[in-house]
Amino acid sequence: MKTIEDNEFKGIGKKNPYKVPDGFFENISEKTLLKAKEREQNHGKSRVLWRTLAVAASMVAMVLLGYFIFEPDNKPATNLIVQNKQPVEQQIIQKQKISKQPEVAEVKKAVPEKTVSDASSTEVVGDILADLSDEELLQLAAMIKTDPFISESAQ
Amino acid sequence: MPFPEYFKIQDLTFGDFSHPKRKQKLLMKETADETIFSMIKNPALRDKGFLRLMDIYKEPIYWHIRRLVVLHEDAEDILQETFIQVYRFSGSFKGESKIYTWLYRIATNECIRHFRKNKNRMKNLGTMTSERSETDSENSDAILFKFQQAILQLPEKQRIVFNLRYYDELSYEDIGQILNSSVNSLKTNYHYASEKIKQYLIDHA
Repeated sequence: MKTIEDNEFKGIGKKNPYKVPDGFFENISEKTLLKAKEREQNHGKSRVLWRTLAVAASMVAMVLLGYFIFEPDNKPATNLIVQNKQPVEQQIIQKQKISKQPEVAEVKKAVPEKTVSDASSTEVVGDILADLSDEELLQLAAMIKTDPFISESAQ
Repeated sequence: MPFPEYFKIQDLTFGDFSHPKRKQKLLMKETADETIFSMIKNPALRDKGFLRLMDIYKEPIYWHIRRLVVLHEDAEDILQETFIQVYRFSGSFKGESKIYTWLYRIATNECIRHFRKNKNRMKNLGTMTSERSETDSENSDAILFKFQQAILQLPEKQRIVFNLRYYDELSYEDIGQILNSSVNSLKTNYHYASEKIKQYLIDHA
């Protein structure tokens, strides 16, 4: 099919100056087919391997997720700390309690009269206070100091 | 679905340096292409169909690649890579374009990828051509090598468009499908390429 462009480089023609090794075109088809089949096989093997790894990784992820969600010992951190402290640091805690007694006394005073009018109510309050940890007592004391609703007589 | 019965005759030169005239004429029958491709899609006939397809297109595709990358070793690798992709991804060909435009497209993309990977080497293509001329040709044809050097000086797209139009004699529509470009843009590219080649030949006469 002659084109207009043929006339532009008429004297040059369409030959290539490059040479090809002997027998190249005879062998290239079979060679390429073998390579194509080999590539397909390798690709298939690696695909199976990746799929297996993906399944294993997702199973591990599910197990870990399940472990963290349904962990058996799921208690608050402060209790854990207190429990861990008990056997070894009980004396230190007792000392701290003694030093914080004025603040505890403040807490008891700050409790409104209405709620502690009966001796039984006082005992209940005392029990409640005894159940609180040191940190909670300190927080309560700090709250009372700043609480505008507690009467001056109570403080 | 019946395929249209028509023949497309193309004159393709495969760079047979020892023969001054064009030697090979390929008769491309689109129905034959479709038949071969249905063989490739059929698992039982896949290998046979693939070999048949390679027999028809290995030379034109090789020379298209060789004109771009110059070195035979690179051209061989890219040719193989092109047909390996055809073998593996024949299922992805939907018949929206002609089979040979699809083949040329894969080959051209592989060449472009090769250019990206070997940027430094590609800068010296013109020098490589002149070195090759001393070892490869029996009868040194100076103008032929100068012509190749002129083409190799072109920017990448102009070089590809020029080769596909001048050597492979593809229509602008086919080249548009290969390069995903408009016909007008390709005509412009070809025009500029021709002008630059003529200027180069004049300057280095």
